Amino acid sequence: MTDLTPIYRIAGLGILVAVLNIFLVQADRKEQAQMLSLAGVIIVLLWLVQMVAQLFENVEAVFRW
Amino acid sequence: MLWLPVAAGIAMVLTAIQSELREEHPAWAVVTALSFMVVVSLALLPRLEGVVAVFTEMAETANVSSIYLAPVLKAIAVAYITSFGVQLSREAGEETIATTIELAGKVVILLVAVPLIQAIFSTLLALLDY
Repeated sequence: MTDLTPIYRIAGLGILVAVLNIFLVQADRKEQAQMLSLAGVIIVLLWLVQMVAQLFENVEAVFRW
Repeated sequence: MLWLPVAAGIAMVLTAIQSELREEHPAWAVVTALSFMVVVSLALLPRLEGVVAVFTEMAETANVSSIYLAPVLKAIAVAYITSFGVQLSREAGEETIATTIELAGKVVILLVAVPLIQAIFSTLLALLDY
């Protein structure tokens, strides 16, 4: 069975960012809320870039002859 | 074959979430789609490896030279990699980026196919006793 940990990790960070976002918007700090959302996306993208690199390496390895 | 129901289930849940995310947080929608695509593809690749191994074995049995099989496999790999990028950027509404990646994939496939075209050409010339 494949490793689903990255999915859970990304979902967890997404929920955390969403909740904090709601708090910040309620506290009238729209700027910080936007920054937090952006930071979350960048963190997840950093994880994903490594996974995409691994995926492309695997594709290359599978079709190499 | 347990992974297929799991992947389909995650896909259904994500589809429902995506319709909300796409309107509220477009960046998170892209990130979610990308992560799903990467995880499912990583899970599928080992199976694909078996299929490719069978193909290469068949080619070896039929005495087909690697000059002819390697471009085919490379073209498939290039098509997969480009389709990942193209689909993702097209869904996010970035038609320009998607078209550019598509063009790059076409050029790379053309480059991969050059030896084959050369082989066909030289065979033709040999047939015509040129």
